[in-house]
Amino acid sequence: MKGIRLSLFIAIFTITICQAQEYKASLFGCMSDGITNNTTSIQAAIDYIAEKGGGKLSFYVGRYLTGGLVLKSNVTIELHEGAILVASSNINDYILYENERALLFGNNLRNVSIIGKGVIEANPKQYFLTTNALKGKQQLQADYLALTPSLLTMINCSNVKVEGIIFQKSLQNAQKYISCNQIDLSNQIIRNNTIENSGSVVFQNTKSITLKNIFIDAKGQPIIKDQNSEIIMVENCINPKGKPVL
Amino acid sequence: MKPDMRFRRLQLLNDKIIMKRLLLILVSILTTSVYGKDYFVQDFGVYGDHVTLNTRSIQTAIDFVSKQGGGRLIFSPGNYVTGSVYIKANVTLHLEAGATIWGSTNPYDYIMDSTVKWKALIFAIKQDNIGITGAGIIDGRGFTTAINTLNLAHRGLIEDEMKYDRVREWKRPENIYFRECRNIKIEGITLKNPASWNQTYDQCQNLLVDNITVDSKSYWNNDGIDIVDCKDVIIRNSYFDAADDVLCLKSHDATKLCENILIENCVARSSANGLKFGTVSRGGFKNVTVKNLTVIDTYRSAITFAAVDGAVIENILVDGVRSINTGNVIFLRIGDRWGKGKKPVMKNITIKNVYAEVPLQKPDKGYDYEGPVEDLPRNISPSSIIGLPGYNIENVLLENIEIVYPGGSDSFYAYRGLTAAELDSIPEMPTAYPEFSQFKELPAWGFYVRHAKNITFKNVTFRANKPDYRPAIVSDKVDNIEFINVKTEEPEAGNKQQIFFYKSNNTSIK
Repeated sequence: MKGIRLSLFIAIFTITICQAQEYKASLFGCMSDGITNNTTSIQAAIDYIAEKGGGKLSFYVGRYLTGGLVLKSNVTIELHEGAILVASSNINDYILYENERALLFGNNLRNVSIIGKGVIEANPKQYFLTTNALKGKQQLQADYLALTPSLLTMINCSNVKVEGIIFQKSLQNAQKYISCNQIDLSNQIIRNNTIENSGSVVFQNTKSITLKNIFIDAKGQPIIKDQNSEIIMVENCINPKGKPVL
Repeated sequence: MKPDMRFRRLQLLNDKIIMKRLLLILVSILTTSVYGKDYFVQDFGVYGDHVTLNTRSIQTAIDFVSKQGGGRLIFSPGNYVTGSVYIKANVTLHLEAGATIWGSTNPYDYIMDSTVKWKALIFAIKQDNIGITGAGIIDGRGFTTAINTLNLAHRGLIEDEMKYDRVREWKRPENIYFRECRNIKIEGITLKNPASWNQTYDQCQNLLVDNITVDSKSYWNNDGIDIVDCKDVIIRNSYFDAADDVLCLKSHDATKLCENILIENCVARSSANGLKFGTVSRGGFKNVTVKNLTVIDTYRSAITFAAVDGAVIENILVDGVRSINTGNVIFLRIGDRWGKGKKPVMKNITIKNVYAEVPLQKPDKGYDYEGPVEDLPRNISPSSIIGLPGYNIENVLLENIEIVYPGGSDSFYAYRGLTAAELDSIPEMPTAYPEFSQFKELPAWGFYVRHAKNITFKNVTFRANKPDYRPAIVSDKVDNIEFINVKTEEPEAGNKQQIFFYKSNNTSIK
């Protein structure tokens, strides 16, 4: 009995430590000015928190400019109301992995959450202006330049929660889940209405998907799902005309 | 006489009294600052080399000039680095064109003043006949100082709760903080990059701010100008570009108030509000006249009057506003936040001769320290007058006003209908921070009025560029509301009822 109590205590203790430990972004020198490129600072924060066994990286109100970031298991990113992750308009700033390029990139992870009322956005006008300019210089290869980043791409990940975030002005599809399991998306606003043919959420070979309270204003197909993907629950996911997106 | 006529006469009378009084101030400030000798900072061991920290030398110079009976302390072209200094009686700092005073970036170079409990670069406490003039610049270098302060907090060297992941505003230096001073002249200078608010005049009397330029968007809470519980103030011919509220009147002391204030010929750009009374609003705001105000690229409201901490807001005239690309136009709000039982009042407000355009996109996009995306989901919000149950906003005249809205709201994104249940579901939010967006979706696209009395709209046009699912105007729990020659234009509106009354008495449309 004592043993059970002790192990229960240890279990609860560990869970609380893992979940409750909050690190503010400024601790790692992240600037909310919208000008400073925070890529290395935010990455250092994610790596640090992962090494400590997990926790939450909190962004408060402000514009945090960043390039591509590699997510880690057991690390939660919280964007409080008014906090914006602003995606760099320089293609070289993104994470390139096989045939994927993304702002937030996860590969082979467990327990990843991105939560809060904040925003993740890109700047398509500026991005394509700079990328087309590079194309004109004829140095970088066309296929390097043609692979446009998503805002979030997860490969081989399980137990992923993306709750409450506003995704807007994405450069292609906002979120991509490839060969993932247990994907829980809820209370999102996705405004992906600037780029032609871009959908909002893509599922490939992904199981146990739940979708709840998602408003999608997209130019392309709002949710793109292949035959191997399996959505187990959809609730109140609508487009601007109030029609269900699935 | 009809109530609104009576109150209009009262306003005209008030306006005349303010003008006369302010003219007297102007004469007194101009005459007091004429006499006195000129002194040059370099004669006191001050170096304009952009390196030397001149704090002690500048203070020595100021003290010397004050002891000699006063005069101008002249900064010739150069770059003068300094920490906190105190202006003393009868001293004017005069910055010649090409002279810049640079704030030190070391937080320890700034004094937390024991009277005002705030940090600043240039203080004046209980000093008369003072000023800062000339065509030079004061640059606080606030971004670096703010970040350096934050790092001290992370290292545990200063205590701070780090609300919103930044150090609280009173622990970051402003460019100017004057308290209980009389006969102040701020003229010609450019004020840049504070770490907190920019310039505060607190319980001062006879203040003239003329022909200044403000570039204040280097860090959070960068206001344009803060007038706190001051009497007899003129702000004119000035340009403000600020991350936070621009022309900001505050009342920190429940026993004091802002009184007899004229703001004219000013241009405001803000990632918050253009003209703002509040947010701290304990005592009140009386006899304020604002003329010929231009507000551009402003994230929140062109005009926000907030009585949320027990303030009395009374006899206010805003005449001549051009508000282009601003997120909202008019927001009058009574709340009950820190009033401690003091009754908030807002009455006798005239806003006239206004042309305004509200955009669909974010109006302050691209400016440093853009306003935060929040209070979603909501479609474009209407202008509003929103009191509280038992605290009506009274006697408001809106005359010769034209507001252009984008329209095109999406009822599936955010919806507030006109049924009793839906209108009653709009929260009262007495203790919330006052912003036009705080109620999220409101049921009108042009103007929403709630808990108000004696409201007149005269020669007012609301235009929506695209169809909107909401009516133009909703009047909710209003006594005596009058619409004289009010026009609404909305494509495909057909016979839609554009003015909707709910629990309102004595309503008329002429």
